Amino acid sequence: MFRKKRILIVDDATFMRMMIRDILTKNNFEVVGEAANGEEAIAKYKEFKPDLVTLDITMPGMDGVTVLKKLREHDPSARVVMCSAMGQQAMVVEAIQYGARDFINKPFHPQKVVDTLRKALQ
Amino acid sequence: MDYKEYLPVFIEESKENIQVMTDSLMRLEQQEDREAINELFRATHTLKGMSATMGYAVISDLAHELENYLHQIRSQELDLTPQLISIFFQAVDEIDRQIKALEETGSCRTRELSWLESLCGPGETSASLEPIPIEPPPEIEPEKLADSEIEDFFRVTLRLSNDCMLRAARLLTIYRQLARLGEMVDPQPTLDDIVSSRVGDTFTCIINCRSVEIQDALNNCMEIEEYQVTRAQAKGNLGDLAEPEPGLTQSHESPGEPIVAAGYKGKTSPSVRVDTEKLDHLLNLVSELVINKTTIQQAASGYSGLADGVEHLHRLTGDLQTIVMKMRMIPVETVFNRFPRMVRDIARSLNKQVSLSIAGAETELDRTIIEDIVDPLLHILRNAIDHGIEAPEMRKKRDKSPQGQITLKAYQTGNQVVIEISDDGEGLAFPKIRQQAVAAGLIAHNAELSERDLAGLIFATGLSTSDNVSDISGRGVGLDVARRAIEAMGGSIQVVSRRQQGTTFRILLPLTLAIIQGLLVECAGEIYVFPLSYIRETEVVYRRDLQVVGHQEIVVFRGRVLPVLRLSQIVTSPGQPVNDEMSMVILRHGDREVGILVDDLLGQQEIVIKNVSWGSDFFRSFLGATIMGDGRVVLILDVNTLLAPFREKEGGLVG
Amino acid sequence: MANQYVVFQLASEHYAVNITQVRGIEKLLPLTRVPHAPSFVQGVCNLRGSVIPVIDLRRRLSLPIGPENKNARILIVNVDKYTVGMTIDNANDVVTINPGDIEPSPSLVTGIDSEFVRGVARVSNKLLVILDLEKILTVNQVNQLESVR
Repeated sequence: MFRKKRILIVDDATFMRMMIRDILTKNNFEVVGEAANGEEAIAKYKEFKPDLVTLDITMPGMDGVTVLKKLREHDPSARVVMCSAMGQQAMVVEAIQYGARDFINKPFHPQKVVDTLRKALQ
Repeated sequence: MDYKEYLPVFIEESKENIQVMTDSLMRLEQQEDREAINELFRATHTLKGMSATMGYAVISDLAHELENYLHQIRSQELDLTPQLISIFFQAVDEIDRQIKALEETGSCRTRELSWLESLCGPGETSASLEPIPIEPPPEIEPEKLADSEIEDFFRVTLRLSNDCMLRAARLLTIYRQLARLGEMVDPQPTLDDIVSSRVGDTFTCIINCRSVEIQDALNNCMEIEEYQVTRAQAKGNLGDLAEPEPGLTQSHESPGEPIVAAGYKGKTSPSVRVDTEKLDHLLNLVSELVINKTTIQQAASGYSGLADGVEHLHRLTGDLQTIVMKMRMIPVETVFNRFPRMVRDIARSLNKQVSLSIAGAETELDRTIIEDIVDPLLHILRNAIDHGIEAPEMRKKRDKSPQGQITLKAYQTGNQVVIEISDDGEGLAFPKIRQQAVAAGLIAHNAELSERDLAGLIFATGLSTSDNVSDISGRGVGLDVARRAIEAMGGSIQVVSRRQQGTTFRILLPLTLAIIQGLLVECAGEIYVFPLSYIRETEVVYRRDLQVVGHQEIVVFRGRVLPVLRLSQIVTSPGQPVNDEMSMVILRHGDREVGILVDDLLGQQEIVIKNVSWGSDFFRSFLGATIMGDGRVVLILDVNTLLAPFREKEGGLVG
Repeated sequence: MANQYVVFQLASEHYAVNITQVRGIEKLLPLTRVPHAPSFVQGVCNLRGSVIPVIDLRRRLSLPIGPENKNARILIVNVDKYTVGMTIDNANDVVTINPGDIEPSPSLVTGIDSEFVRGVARVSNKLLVILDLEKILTVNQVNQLESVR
């Protein structure tokens, strides 16, 4: 039986979270929660146990790579897709080395986001 | 019946047959080749038939004569002597001239047969010739499905899609996916390269696993344009990995084994001829469609109900665009195939022995630049034969084989096509170049220049290292003209040389001209576009990060010193640029990198290049213009001219 | 060469251009500045999908610059294989001028470089200066002009 995949969105910008939520819900994903910073992200991950997390790479306070490391420490099988802007390649590379499954670039191309998440969930 | 409407097709097919005849003759010159004689015969016979039908007796009579001789050669009544081959070459040249005359004037030139007869005696004119046996095409064996289940060593080659922005990050994800499948041998770029961003847009490696696993893994990756999986012959292929250039695939050179799996459709489909005018018209329509779609996209962004439709439209236009772009591409083979004959002729006239080998002739280039590349390549080839390859006696003295080797190689990487011409001659004469440059007033006599800088000087106007100014290479006029021609196409040229070992010229050409990916930037209230293919990276830069060294503003970026220019100065902005927090676009052209400071980055977009015909003199710094979705005209920066001042200051450039 | 000419005004003077060279007349369009172009090149515009350069004809003819004119028009001309726009004050009508009526004229009368003038003709009591578009759009002259400034 088909079950919608459950996604946790992490980004400090409300607007970005809204946009990603929009893309996801239109494409048959279920958004189980949103987090605006690292601490919230870890807490909500533990609470909702999502299938995948979209994680912004630059956030004030705990940055994306640190959050990624903590998530993977808590759950080594955690699937995380990083969200980055141009010019952040070094951080994306670091994130992948720490276990991020994939990444998407801003500005977001809805189809690319959907394809990336679907592939990351396989 | 009037066959005039078939003239264009006749001319095209005749040219093809002439090419086959030339190729066969070149092979026959080297050694006895039954197959070559048959091909020569067939091509001659076809030419005879076509020209007779069209009523061009001048051509059909000549072809008929040749056919007679070939008939006798095949039945071994006549020997194919070097003299006879030479005569054949002349006959082919004559047919070529007739075809060209037809193309230009619509009728043949007058010609006389007698010289052919007088040389070898009249051949037997047989009234009827044996029909040519038609061989059935070779059977293509269906893929054995079971093969995909067997674990083996496979060579994987892949290329990232053009719109992939973070290439190192993408290659890393792909690398990790593949590494899980089995033992990975000789990845290029290596993991170290990838992590340090020393990447292009290609990747290759050998993996020991099942081919179906590789396909699954690659199909599950994003941003891969195409991939190939071939069975790797462990000894052969590993030995081929000679040049460890990061990111460049060797796959086009030695496929050897049939392709086990591929991520895109190969060129096995039948083809159809299309009028170039129709193609150009189609391309114009698609360009308009792309602009139109962008307008609709922007207008629809407020209406959620339209989102799906617009998305679909976007994808459809994208696909259409890709297909039309691909239609404009033709293999460089059409241009390369003239060279073996030309090299042979030039080498002979200079008393040198030269062999030309060609690789990657199936690489495709945009139709509009393919003809323009011939002259520059010819200049370089001439240069290689004249100055590069030594005379046979000299080569023997240096323990080289008396026959010099020139390699012409073409391949695609990312948004560019690379054409390399290498010779195994004596390399660039640096002391001589330096001497000439000083004499020509290009450099100060005590200027300190590296070999790389000196190599760059060979493209300067007014330089010639030829002791006897032969009419072959001229007065050093060839190379600077070649460079300018290449740059006019949006390309660049580099040269690398090692004393006594040889020289390699490397030409980079843009893949497509009319539609590119571009980065919009804002500068002092104006908007400009950078072609994405030249952009290495972007970064935020603060005023405090800038320093001045010599007279050059620089910034330290990733431990390197990077020269920077302000776009506001380059375009002499009337407005005021920002000065505190700026964006820097790092451009890479050949092996030079420069950072360009702008106020803000506005985003990446596909750009339709519109030419502005009048006023090309003052459009020097621009590739052209483009029209935004809102109808505004934005100029596209020509990176070549932007970086030109840097080239001149080569000697004194920091970093 | 047809005998019909499009007549337009710059300041108080009337000029004429052969109709075969005229492609159309447009209202003022937004222009994008072209860096490093001579000062009489105002910029480029988007004319139904084509990018066309626009020149300030007054400047090009070295006429004094007039007050800003919101009713100005752009005259789109075809010369050789080029399409260029020229800013004019307004367009009047189309008249017929016979080759016999065209007289050569020294720059004293027309006020502009005689290089740019084919001749003058008198039509309905107006003196029309017939322009030589090829010369006006010839770029070599541009450099000389610029160095004089």
